[in-house]
Amino acid sequence: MTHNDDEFEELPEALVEALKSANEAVPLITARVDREVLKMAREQFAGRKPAWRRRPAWAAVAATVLITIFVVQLDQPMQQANLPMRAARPADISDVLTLARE
Amino acid sequence: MKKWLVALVLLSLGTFGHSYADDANIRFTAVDIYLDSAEPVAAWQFELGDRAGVMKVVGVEQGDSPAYAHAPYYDREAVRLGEADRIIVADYSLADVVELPSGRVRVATVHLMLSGDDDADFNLFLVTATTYDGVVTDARISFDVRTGSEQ
Repeated sequence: MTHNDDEFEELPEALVEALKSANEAVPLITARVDREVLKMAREQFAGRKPAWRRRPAWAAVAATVLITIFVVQLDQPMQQANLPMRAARPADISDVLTLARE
Repeated sequence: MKKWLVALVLLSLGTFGHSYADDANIRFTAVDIYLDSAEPVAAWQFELGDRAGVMKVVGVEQGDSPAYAHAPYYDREAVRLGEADRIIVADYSLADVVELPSGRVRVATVHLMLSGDDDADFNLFLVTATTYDGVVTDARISFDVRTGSEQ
Protein backbone atom coordinates (compact mmCIF):
# COMPACT_ATOMS: atom_id res chain seq x y z
CA MET A 1 0.00 0.00 0.00
CA THR A 2 1.42 3.34 -1.00
CA HIS A 3 1.24 6.58 0.85
CA ASN A 4 -1.47 7.70 -1.51
CA ASP A 5 -3.49 4.56 -0.92
CA ASP A 6 -3.37 5.22 2.82
CA GLU A 7 -4.81 8.68 2.27
CA PHE A 8 -7.71 7.23 0.27
CA GLU A 9 -8.63 4.64 2.85
CA GLU A 10 -11.03 6.83 4.75
CA LEU A 11 -12.73 8.35 1.70
CA PRO A 12 -15.88 6.97 0.07
CA GLU A 13 -15.21 4.51 -2.71
CA ALA A 14 -17.00 6.58 -5.36
CA LEU A 15 -14.94 9.62 -4.56
CA VAL A 16 -11.76 7.62 -4.67
CA GLU A 17 -12.57 6.35 -8.14
CA ALA A 18 -13.43 9.85 -9.32
CA LEU A 19 -10.16 11.25 -8.02
CA LYS A 20 -8.22 8.45 -9.66
CA SER A 21 -9.86 8.99 -13.00
CA ALA A 22 -9.12 12.70 -12.78
CA ASN A 23 -5.45 11.92 -12.74
CA GLU A 24 -5.56 10.02 -15.99
CA ALA A 25 -3.91 11.52 -19.05
CA VAL A 26 -6.02 13.90 -21.13
CA PRO A 27 -6.99 12.32 -24.45
CA LEU A 28 -4.92 13.83 -27.23
CA ILE A 29 -6.99 15.58 -29.95
CA THR A 30 -4.98 15.78 -33.11
CA ALA A 31 -5.31 18.56 -35.67
CA ARG A 32 -7.00 16.12 -38.04
CA VAL A 33 -9.65 15.21 -35.47
CA ASP A 34 -10.19 18.89 -34.74
CA ARG A 35 -10.75 19.63 -38.45
CA GLU A 36 -13.17 16.72 -38.80
CA VAL A 37 -15.23 17.89 -35.83
CA LEU A 38 -15.32 21.44 -37.18
CA LYS A 39 -16.37 20.17 -40.61
CA MET A 40 -19.19 18.10 -39.12
CA ALA A 41 -20.39 21.06 -37.09
CA ARG A 42 -20.46 23.30 -40.11
CA GLU A 43 -22.40 20.75 -42.14
CA GLN A 44 -24.86 20.34 -39.29
CA PHE A 45 -25.66 24.05 -39.05
CA ALA A 46 -25.27 25.00 -42.73
CA GLY A 47 -28.98 24.64 -43.55
CA ARG A 48 -30.20 26.39 -40.46
CA LYS A 49 -31.87 29.82 -40.96
CA PRO A 50 -30.89 32.82 -38.84
CA ALA A 51 -32.98 33.37 -35.75
CA TRP A 52 -34.91 36.29 -37.26
CA ARG A 53 -35.97 34.22 -40.29
CA ARG A 54 -37.37 31.31 -38.36
CA ARG A 55 -41.10 30.78 -38.63
CA PRO A 56 -42.09 31.42 -35.00
CA ALA A 57 -40.70 34.98 -35.20
CA TRP A 58 -42.71 35.81 -38.33
CA ALA A 59 -45.78 34.18 -36.91
CA ALA A 60 -45.53 36.39 -33.83
CA VAL A 61 -45.18 39.53 -35.95
CA ALA A 62 -48.12 38.58 -38.19
CA ALA A 63 -50.30 37.83 -35.20
CA THR A 64 -49.44 41.19 -33.64
CA VAL A 65 -50.32 43.05 -36.86
CA LEU A 66 -53.62 41.23 -37.25
CA ILE A 67 -54.60 41.87 -33.66
CA THR A 68 -53.74 45.54 -34.09
CA ILE A 69 -55.84 45.81 -37.26
CA PHE A 70 -58.83 44.14 -35.70
CA VAL A 71 -58.58 46.21 -32.55
CA VAL A 72 -58.43 49.44 -34.59
CA GLN A 73 -61.34 48.39 -36.83
CA LEU A 74 -63.43 47.44 -33.86
CA ASP A 75 -62.57 50.66 -32.10
CA GLN A 76 -63.54 53.01 -34.96
CA PRO A 77 -67.28 52.23 -35.15
CA MET A 78 -67.52 52.69 -31.41
CA GLN A 79 -65.99 56.16 -31.68
CA GLN A 80 -68.25 57.08 -34.58
CA ALA A 81 -71.26 55.85 -32.69
CA ASN A 82 -70.39 58.19 -29.85
CA LEU A 83 -70.15 61.26 -32.10
CA PRO A 84 -73.29 63.38 -32.25
CA MET A 85 -72.86 63.88 -36.00
CA ARG A 86 -75.40 63.56 -38.72
CA ALA A 87 -74.26 60.85 -41.10
CA ALA A 88 -75.74 62.44 -44.23
CA ARG A 89 -73.09 65.16 -44.56
CA PRO A 90 -69.40 65.70 -43.91
CA ALA A 91 -68.35 66.90 -40.49
CA ASP A 92 -68.00 70.64 -40.08
CA ILE A 93 -67.41 73.23 -37.39
CA SER A 94 -70.87 72.78 -35.89
CA ASP A 95 -69.90 69.21 -34.98
CA VAL A 96 -66.76 70.56 -33.35
CA LEU A 97 -68.87 73.00 -31.37
CA THR A 98 -71.13 70.20 -30.19
CA LEU A 99 -68.15 68.11 -29.10
CA ALA A 100 -66.51 71.07 -27.39
CA ARG A 101 -69.62 71.66 -25.31
CA GLU A 102 -69.71 68.06 -24.02
CA MET B 1 -26.01 71.08 -84.76
CA LYS B 2 -25.18 74.70 -84.09
CA LYS B 3 -28.66 75.75 -85.23
CA TRP B 4 -30.26 73.36 -82.78
CA LEU B 5 -28.10 74.68 -79.97
CA VAL B 6 -29.03 78.29 -80.74
CA ALA B 7 -32.72 77.38 -80.93
CA LEU B 8 -32.49 75.61 -77.58
CA VAL B 9 -30.83 78.62 -75.94
CA LEU B 10 -33.45 81.00 -77.37
CA LEU B 11 -36.25 78.71 -76.23
CA SER B 12 -34.79 78.60 -72.72
CA LEU B 13 -34.48 82.38 -72.61
CA GLY B 14 -38.07 82.72 -73.75
CA THR B 15 -39.27 80.36 -71.04
CA PHE B 16 -37.31 82.10 -68.29
CA GLY B 17 -38.43 85.48 -69.55
CA HIS B 18 -42.08 84.43 -69.40
CA SER B 19 -41.91 83.14 -65.84
CA TYR B 20 -40.00 86.23 -64.77
CA ALA B 21 -42.76 88.39 -66.19
CA ASP B 22 -45.35 86.39 -64.20
CA ASP B 23 -43.36 86.73 -61.00
CA ALA B 24 -42.98 90.45 -61.56
CA ASN B 25 -46.71 90.94 -61.32
CA ILE B 26 -47.01 89.72 -57.75
CA ARG B 27 -49.13 91.86 -55.45
CA PHE B 28 -50.72 91.42 -52.05
CA THR B 29 -54.19 92.17 -50.86
CA ALA B 30 -56.53 91.41 -47.98
CA VAL B 31 -60.11 90.25 -48.13
CA ASP B 32 -62.44 90.95 -45.21
CA ILE B 33 -65.10 88.30 -44.71
CA TYR B 34 -68.43 89.40 -43.23
CA LEU B 35 -71.17 87.27 -41.76
CA ASP B 36 -74.65 88.67 -41.47
CA SER B 37 -77.03 86.82 -39.19
CA ALA B 38 -80.17 87.82 -37.32
CA GLU B 39 -79.36 85.34 -34.57
CA PRO B 40 -76.17 85.12 -32.48
CA VAL B 41 -73.65 82.86 -34.21
CA ALA B 42 -71.74 80.26 -32.18
CA ALA B 43 -69.93 78.59 -35.07
CA TRP B 44 -69.24 79.41 -38.69
CA GLN B 45 -67.33 77.97 -41.60
CA PHE B 46 -66.68 79.34 -45.07
CA GLU B 47 -64.64 78.48 -48.14
CA LEU B 48 -62.84 81.03 -50.26
CA GLY B 49 -61.45 80.22 -53.68
CA ASP B 50 -60.45 81.98 -56.87
CA ARG B 51 -61.79 80.95 -60.27
CA ALA B 52 -58.95 82.78 -62.02
CA GLY B 53 -56.33 80.76 -60.18
CA VAL B 54 -54.14 83.73 -59.30
CA MET B 55 -54.41 83.73 -55.50
CA LYS B 56 -52.37 82.11 -52.78
CA VAL B 57 -53.37 82.51 -49.14
CA VAL B 58 -50.56 83.86 -47.00
CA GLY B 59 -52.39 84.40 -43.72
CA VAL B 60 -55.70 84.52 -41.88
CA GLU B 61 -56.61 87.05 -39.23
CA GLN B 62 -59.44 86.96 -36.70
CA GLY B 63 -62.46 89.23 -36.94
CA ASP B 64 -63.96 91.92 -34.77
CA SER B 65 -66.06 89.95 -32.29
CA PRO B 66 -64.56 89.45 -28.79
CA ALA B 67 -66.33 86.08 -28.71
CA TYR B 68 -63.84 84.93 -31.36
CA ALA B 69 -60.70 86.30 -29.82
CA HIS B 70 -58.15 84.11 -31.56
CA ALA B 71 -57.27 83.43 -35.17
CA PRO B 72 -59.77 81.01 -36.72
CA TYR B 73 -58.98 77.45 -37.75
CA TYR B 74 -57.56 76.79 -41.20
CA ASP B 75 -54.90 74.69 -42.90
CA ARG B 76 -51.84 76.45 -41.58
CA GLU B 77 -49.43 73.98 -43.17
CA ALA B 78 -50.80 74.60 -46.68
CA VAL B 79 -50.54 78.34 -46.10
CA ARG B 80 -47.01 78.04 -44.76
CA LEU B 81 -45.95 76.04 -47.82
CA GLY B 82 -47.62 78.53 -50.18
CA GLU B 83 -49.96 75.84 -51.52
CA ALA B 84 -53.31 77.30 -50.42
CA ASP B 85 -55.00 78.32 -53.66
CA ARG B 86 -58.31 77.99 -51.83
CA ILE B 87 -59.00 77.86 -48.15
CA ILE B 88 -61.59 76.68 -45.66
CA VAL B 89 -61.77 78.81 -42.53
CA ALA B 90 -63.87 78.04 -39.47
CA ASP B 91 -64.25 78.96 -35.83
CA TYR B 92 -66.54 78.38 -32.88
CA SER B 93 -67.11 80.09 -29.58
CA LEU B 94 -68.07 78.72 -26.18
CA ALA B 95 -69.08 82.16 -24.97
CA ASP B 96 -72.53 82.82 -23.53
CA VAL B 97 -75.26 83.57 -26.01
CA VAL B 98 -75.34 87.24 -25.04
CA GLU B 99 -71.68 87.59 -26.03
CA LEU B 100 -72.05 85.98 -29.45
CA PRO B 101 -72.13 88.29 -32.44
CA SER B 102 -75.23 88.95 -34.49
CA GLY B 103 -75.98 91.30 -37.36
CA ARG B 104 -73.18 92.07 -39.79
CA VAL B 105 -69.79 91.30 -38.35
CA ARG B 106 -66.32 90.75 -39.79
CA VAL B 107 -65.40 87.18 -38.87
CA ALA B 108 -62.02 86.96 -40.60
CA THR B 109 -59.58 88.65 -42.92
CA VAL B 110 -57.76 86.52 -45.48
CA HIS B 111 -54.42 87.86 -46.67
CA LEU B 112 -53.58 86.91 -50.24
CA MET B 113 -50.76 86.98 -52.72
CA LEU B 114 -51.93 87.46 -56.29
CA SER B 115 -49.74 86.64 -59.26
CA GLY B 116 -50.12 86.98 -63.01
CA ASP B 117 -51.88 89.53 -65.12
CA ASP B 118 -55.44 88.42 -64.41
CA ASP B 119 -57.60 89.74 -61.61
CA ALA B 120 -58.79 87.35 -58.94
CA ASP B 121 -62.33 86.07 -59.37
CA PHE B 122 -63.24 85.21 -55.80
CA ASN B 123 -65.65 82.43 -55.02
CA LEU B 124 -66.90 82.65 -51.41
CA PHE B 125 -69.59 80.50 -49.87
CA LEU B 126 -70.81 79.79 -46.40
CA VAL B 127 -70.54 76.15 -45.39
CA THR B 128 -72.45 76.57 -42.17
CA ALA B 129 -73.36 79.00 -39.43
CA THR B 130 -74.99 77.75 -36.27
CA THR B 131 -76.62 79.31 -33.26
CA TYR B 132 -75.81 78.78 -29.59
CA ASP B 133 -78.13 75.76 -29.61
CA GLY B 134 -76.32 74.19 -32.55
CA VAL B 135 -79.11 74.94 -35.00
CA VAL B 136 -78.13 76.04 -38.50
CA THR B 137 -79.06 79.67 -38.96
CA ASP B 138 -79.94 81.47 -42.15
CA ALA B 139 -76.90 83.72 -42.44
CA ARG B 140 -75.36 85.54 -45.39
CA ILE B 141 -71.68 85.84 -46.14
CA SER B 142 -69.93 88.53 -48.14
CA PHE B 143 -66.45 89.89 -48.67
CA ASP B 144 -64.74 93.20 -49.10
CA VAL B 145 -61.40 93.51 -50.83
CA ARG B 146 -59.27 96.06 -48.98
CA THR B 147 -59.34 98.37 -51.95
CA GLY B 148 -62.89 99.10 -50.85
CA SER B 149 -64.91 97.08 -53.34
CA GLU B 150 -67.48 95.09 -51.44
CA GLN B 151 -69.13 92.20 -53.29
